[in-house]
Amino acid sequence: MEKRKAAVVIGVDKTGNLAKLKSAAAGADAVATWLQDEGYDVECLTDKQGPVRSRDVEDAISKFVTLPVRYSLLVVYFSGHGYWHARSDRWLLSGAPTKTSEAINLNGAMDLARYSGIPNVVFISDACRSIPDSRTGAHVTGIDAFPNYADTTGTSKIDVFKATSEARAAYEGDIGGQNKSILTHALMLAYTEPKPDMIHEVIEGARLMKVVPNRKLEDYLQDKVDDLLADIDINLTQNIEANVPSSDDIYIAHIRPGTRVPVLRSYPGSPPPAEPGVRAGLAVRAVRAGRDAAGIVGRALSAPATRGGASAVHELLAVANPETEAALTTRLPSVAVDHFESRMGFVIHGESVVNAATTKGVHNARVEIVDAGDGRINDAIVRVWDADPAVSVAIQVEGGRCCVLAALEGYIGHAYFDEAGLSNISYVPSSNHWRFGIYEQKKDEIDRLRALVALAVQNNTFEIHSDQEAEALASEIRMEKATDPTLGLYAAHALSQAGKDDSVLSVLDYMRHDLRTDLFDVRVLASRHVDQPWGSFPVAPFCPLLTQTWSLLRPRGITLPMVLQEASPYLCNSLWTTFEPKAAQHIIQAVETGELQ
Amino acid sequence: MRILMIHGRSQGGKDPVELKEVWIDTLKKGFAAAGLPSPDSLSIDFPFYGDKLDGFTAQANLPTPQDVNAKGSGKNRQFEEFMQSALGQMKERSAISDDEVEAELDPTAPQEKGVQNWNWVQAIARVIDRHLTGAAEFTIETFLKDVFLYVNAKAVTRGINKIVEEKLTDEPTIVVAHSLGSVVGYKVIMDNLAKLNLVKYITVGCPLGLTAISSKLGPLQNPGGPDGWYNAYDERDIVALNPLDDRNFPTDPKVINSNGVDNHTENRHGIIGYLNDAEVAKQIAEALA
Repeated sequence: MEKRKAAVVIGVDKTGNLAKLKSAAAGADAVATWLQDEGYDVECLTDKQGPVRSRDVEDAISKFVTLPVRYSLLVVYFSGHGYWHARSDRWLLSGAPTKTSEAINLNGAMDLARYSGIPNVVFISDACRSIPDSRTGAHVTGIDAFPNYADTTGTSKIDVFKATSEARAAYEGDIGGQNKSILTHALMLAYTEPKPDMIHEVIEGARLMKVVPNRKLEDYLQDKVDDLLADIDINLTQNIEANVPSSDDIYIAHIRPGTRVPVLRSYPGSPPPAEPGVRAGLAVRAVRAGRDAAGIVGRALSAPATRGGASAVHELLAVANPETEAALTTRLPSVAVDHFESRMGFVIHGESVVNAATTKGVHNARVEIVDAGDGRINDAIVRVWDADPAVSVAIQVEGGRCCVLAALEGYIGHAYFDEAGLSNISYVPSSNHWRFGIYEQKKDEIDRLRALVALAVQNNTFEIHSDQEAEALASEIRMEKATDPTLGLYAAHALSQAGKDDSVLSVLDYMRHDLRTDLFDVRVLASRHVDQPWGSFPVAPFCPLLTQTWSLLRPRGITLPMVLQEASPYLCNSLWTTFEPKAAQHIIQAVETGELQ
Repeated sequence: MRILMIHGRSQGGKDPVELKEVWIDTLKKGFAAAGLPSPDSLSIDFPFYGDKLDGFTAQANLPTPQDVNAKGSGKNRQFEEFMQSALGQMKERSAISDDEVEAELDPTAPQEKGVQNWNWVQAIARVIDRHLTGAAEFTIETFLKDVFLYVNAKAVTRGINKIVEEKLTDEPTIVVAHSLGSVVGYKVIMDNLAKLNLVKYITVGCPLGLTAISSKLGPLQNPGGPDGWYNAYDERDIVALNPLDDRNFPTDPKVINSNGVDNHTENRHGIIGYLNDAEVAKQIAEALA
């Protein structure tokens, strides 16, 4: 029985008044033809004949994403302009950015695709991930494009290939006399010029077929992209991002007919000779911090020798690059402040505090700025009183930005600001709270877990690169009670990315039992499997803690109060939710007046 | 050649030997109706999972109409969504009007404005029970509860399938399945494609045409191949009212559907009103030949 495959292929050369691309539509046509030859049912949308609208994309996807489920694999390909805002990608269609809905919210689409019933969905994003340089761009919300189904069982595996890293450009250029998109060309080469170790044999019907599993694509694509760019302009870099949780038997295409498949040879005692073109890529690969980090996380999780104790942290640091080390260090909270009389509050590093407001909670909570700090040597101290079990606190810093945090009973939150906004928060039990004794016993282990998380966020967004990593990280974090609640939040994200919704629910349950409140993000991630309506159990804070969670609100059917909806275009590109000054004052006021609870 | 018969729900507490005899006797009537001789000796397996399913149902404690309060939903969201989907589709296919459903509702009770209006869903079930299913011991709600448990709870699926899988052999096999048994049969066949030598899959009174059920089964396939799956139903059978066609159960190759059965049982769904059908028996005879 042959498995049915489908593809929605989109190419948009001209978006609003942005520069016209030369290869997006043509590249989409080529991809569509290739996939049709591979036996896919294909819907191809390009702007050669007219504008591509978000409604067209939605209709094309709905044609294949049906109940009952008809397809085993769906590929969604986009080539064109893209934005990166609030840690989510937007694929820009013809009418963007003037029409804010004429775009695809990639995170939202990926989230709904998880519940499409189609076992494997592959997203290929050959688009820039530039930060919009105008307020108009930041308002582009796009649509989630996939049907929102409740009937399906299980979650789909979502493989994603992005042409470049966050806030960076993707390129098109002259390749062999034709203008082509770099990632698209590299992708198609994978099936005509594969390396021997990429090839996997599968039985289809009675035939033995050679394929390239999606898991084998990442390194090849990066090498090819490096080589192609080096031939065009040695100064350009384009660091692809790939996340492939699918197994080895999942592939986009076969090795194309007529391909001369090279023989895999071993070179005992010496490294294999460099292949032509690799030389140019070496320098570029040296800056792949994120991919290094992903590898380190995998190794750290799988190697028992590195587990436990402060030595494990040093061991991780030893293999990480300076950028990784810096990120890791900020996740190890300072010990200078170990308790608050109120047993709740925050230590703010990197910014001085100018204002703070808290929701009232159950016991009429209040907040005081004990020390505004100077943003450099002296940390700011913000104390929260009577907040048991939890309240939401908005903290405004010098320059006007504000973050929103959960004040949790018995915990001191150590928050770190950098130029992008709030880069990290770690919770440590106050030394005058019962949790502290347990924490002391587990501190080294918790630090090691924080280090693992630091490595996983090295590539900017928190991301896990395989199911195994997700489960390993989550299982380690889950076993620690009285630990840093943000670790539970990361575990929930890791499990959600791996499609392990049942495990996300169990994270919610144990955190709920421990904290007597739900962290907003964990509640969002578990929302499809929580029977109680929103509001039946305390949630803190009143909006997502991680910026990347914001793009999941609409696909999860969660509506925020109007003041927060209006503030969302003013989210900074920080890992943790931070609002630009223009929205910050409204947030503070809404907390003070009780509009936000 | 052997026949694997897979029964439906509501068989708990019955004698499996007697039940098997009922199936065989009914099939013999079908052979007679088709003008065909009954095969001299038939190798028939009849896995019995009725008691096991009843045990699971008792454990599951799914919401009943008595659980419904003024606000309706919230007891088990997945179950309520399943019921809403299945009953909504049955209502549409059976041309039950909104007025008929509304007449079942308490006019003084507060009306929930949410998308999942549990009172409304329950009212559809009552209309179906009163007008269509007929038999007192059969309610659409109890039927759907069992199906929901089977397709939704992995432990239930595994537990039931294990009983059926114990009867699998490498002999050429015709699988004949009724009602929930046709869902069980589909899952067991799909999970054992390498092990099972399937000659033909014959389903009667099959609910797989309901999207609420088929959408839980992943990408749909026809394990019997061309002409390898025959699905017979009575158009008055509320459980089987959707054919397994491109709209409701899209496969390539397509399932062969026949709506020509005149099921004489009270609810148009009983097995003794299906296996006695001449065309069904003919299909089995042809597969045996």
